[in-house]
Amino acid sequence: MARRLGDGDGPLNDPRWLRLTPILPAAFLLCFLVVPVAMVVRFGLGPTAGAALTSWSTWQIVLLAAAQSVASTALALLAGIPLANVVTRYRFRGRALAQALLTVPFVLPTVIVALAFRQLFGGGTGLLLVLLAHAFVNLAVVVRIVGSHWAQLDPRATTVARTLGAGGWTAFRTVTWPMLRPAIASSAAVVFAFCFTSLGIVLILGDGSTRTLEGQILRRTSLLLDFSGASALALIQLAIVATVLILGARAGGHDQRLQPWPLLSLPTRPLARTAVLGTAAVGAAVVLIPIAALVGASMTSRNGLTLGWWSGLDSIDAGTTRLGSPMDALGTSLGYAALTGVVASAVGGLAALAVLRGRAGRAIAVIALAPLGISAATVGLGTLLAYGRPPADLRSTGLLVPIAHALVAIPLVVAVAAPSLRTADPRLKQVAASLGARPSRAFATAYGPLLILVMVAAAGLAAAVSLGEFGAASFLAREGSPTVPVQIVRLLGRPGEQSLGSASALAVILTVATLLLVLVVDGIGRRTAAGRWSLRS
Amino acid sequence: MSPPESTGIESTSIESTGLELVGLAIGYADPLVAEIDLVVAPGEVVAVLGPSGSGKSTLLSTIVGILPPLAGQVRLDGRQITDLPIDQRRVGIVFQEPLLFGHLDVLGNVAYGPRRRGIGRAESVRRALDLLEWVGLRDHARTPVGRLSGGQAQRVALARALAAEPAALLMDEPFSALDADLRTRLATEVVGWLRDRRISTLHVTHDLAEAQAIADRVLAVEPGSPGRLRSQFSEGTAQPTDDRSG
Repeated sequence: MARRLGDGDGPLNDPRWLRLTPILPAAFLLCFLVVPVAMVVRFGLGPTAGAALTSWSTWQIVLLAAAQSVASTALALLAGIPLANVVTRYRFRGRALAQALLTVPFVLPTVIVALAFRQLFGGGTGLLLVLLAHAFVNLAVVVRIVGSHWAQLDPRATTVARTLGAGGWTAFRTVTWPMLRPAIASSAAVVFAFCFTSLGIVLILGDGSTRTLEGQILRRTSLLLDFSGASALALIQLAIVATVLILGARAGGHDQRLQPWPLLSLPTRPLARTAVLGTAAVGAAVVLIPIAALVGASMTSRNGLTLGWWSGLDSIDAGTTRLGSPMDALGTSLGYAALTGVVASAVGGLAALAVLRGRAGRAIAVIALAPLGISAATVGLGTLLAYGRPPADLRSTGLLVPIAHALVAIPLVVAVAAPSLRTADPRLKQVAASLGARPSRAFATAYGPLLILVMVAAAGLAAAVSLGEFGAASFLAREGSPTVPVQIVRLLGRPGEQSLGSASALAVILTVATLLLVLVVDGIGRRTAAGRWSLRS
Repeated sequence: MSPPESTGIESTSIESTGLELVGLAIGYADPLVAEIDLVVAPGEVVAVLGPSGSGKSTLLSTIVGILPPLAGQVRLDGRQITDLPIDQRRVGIVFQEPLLFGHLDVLGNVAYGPRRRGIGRAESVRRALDLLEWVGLRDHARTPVGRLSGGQAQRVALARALAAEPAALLMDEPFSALDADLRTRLATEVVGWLRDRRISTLHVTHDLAEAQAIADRVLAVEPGSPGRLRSQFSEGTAQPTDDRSG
């Protein structure tokens, strides 16, 4: 059949198999998101749920976790807003490096951040350390969300306010702050949700004053075997997190014209100039110091410098005879990461591809984003309830952890892949078709190279998520084959500097692996964002 | 249209000498325009013409206090303001876009300046309402600024600038985004208001016709490295322009 140019990017030019792309994501999400969440709901309404819901200790934990999360969020905003201002609005040497460094805390596994803070503050624990670690991890969230909004605000609005008699601080308070409010509210909601559902940081750095529902869900599941009570807590947590995220998304919106503005020159006044450069330098130092503390701890013992923790990583003694060696854990984690990468990029990639096709495809993509609002422990608990017991007991297959990790990673994969796929110029497909290519070939010509690149990036991203994920793995990892974050937490539960040294060495390896993966993903992201996949006119 | 007696906004004193630029050089590392000597008398409107990138907006940024001058002084009513912070200069500015504060309504925008100048809430509101009456938008006092038309929004921006009682006003092509009819009408009205209030006004534009229609004098940035400000013949006044400008 003759093909016409100008048909648009519609179904007429698409290969038939493209219609089937939503099937795999839909089936995966049904099996591993809907069914587990339904199990949590079912068990959450079970016999001991009432006791969990009406227990004073439950609500005490809710209040403690809420207070801790509010304080952590306030700290993250306090540190993140000035950094957002500096690294997203001003032009100075080293800005790109400062910006890249500030994203590091977010990609680092939380268990590693907790360990780094523990090393940095002499092995201490307590509320203050939990707050600092939470603020550290979420610095990137605030800088990204607030910074990208701020960079799109017309800087002349502040100038106008100044000419009307407002001093620098008054202009910020009365003009800039109200304009930033939607971004601040939305970043605050995300940070709150993260801190409220924190597990790794709370387990390693926390004490009695820093309990979270997430920790209680794990405790009820693994120690008390009270699935019903755990599910009830998961439902409470889900309701609170969903409410906060919805409030954050709705807060403070008013008409604003957003557009990218050129970077500002550094202020000419020496004091203001120093403040800008000093803020960037302090931000970079804040990121680097805990990582340096971690590296230091992996190479020091009571007797001075040592490489003993590194050389002993493959021996049983370095870890625990019960759990296997740290290197075994690394092997397990890498295996899970590879599998997660394959599953998440396939499912997430197809979900992203479905976005290119009509309303049903977009609905699938939206459902694929749902795990963003569901805590890792809820995913882990739900997966355990659905597939960790007869009749569908998948525990012995070793698939539960990668499945849960894929579920956690899929929203990120969709968020990365969908916009990238949209950068492909659909006219390439029409040009290929007009040259005689059949629909599949025309589709492959237009989207193939980009799709491969996006899938590789998505797999890398998912693998990075899997390497650092702790919440779901703590529910699902088999006793004898823990992942690295689970192994680190178990090592930290044992006394002795050898455990600490091994945990630190493992953490350094995981940090390097995660950062390498993120760098690769970032590099691919930059290539696709550069718009290489279009017709050149 | 003349200003109502009841606005409560005091005009610039009769002794005021207006805006003076003395040996001013503007730019970033290298001067874009140098040797600028210009006096804009109270109530006078001076237009500066020039293509994009010629330094017009940089000139305004320097006078308003965003950029320090590379050389020379900015004086207002005989007072050296070159080193004063923006908020203490009493120099207003209106851009091509109204840049209204989206979280405030029309009244809140216009009352913003008086409030920052230390005037009480009730008095600020009264002054703002008087100014809105004057620009024909009193009925829109409680309207969210997002619902205003382009012309209405620009009137509010002007009312807001005037409410802060500036001694000099800088206009960075404030009419260029409006359609031709509205542009001419609003420009004529605004210039009338500024003359009535004896505000020294510097208006930069790339539109010769607009400059000639509203300005008492027209200057142009003459290309060069650095550029110079030269006088142009103004149709409106049929007089040669300031011979000190170049």
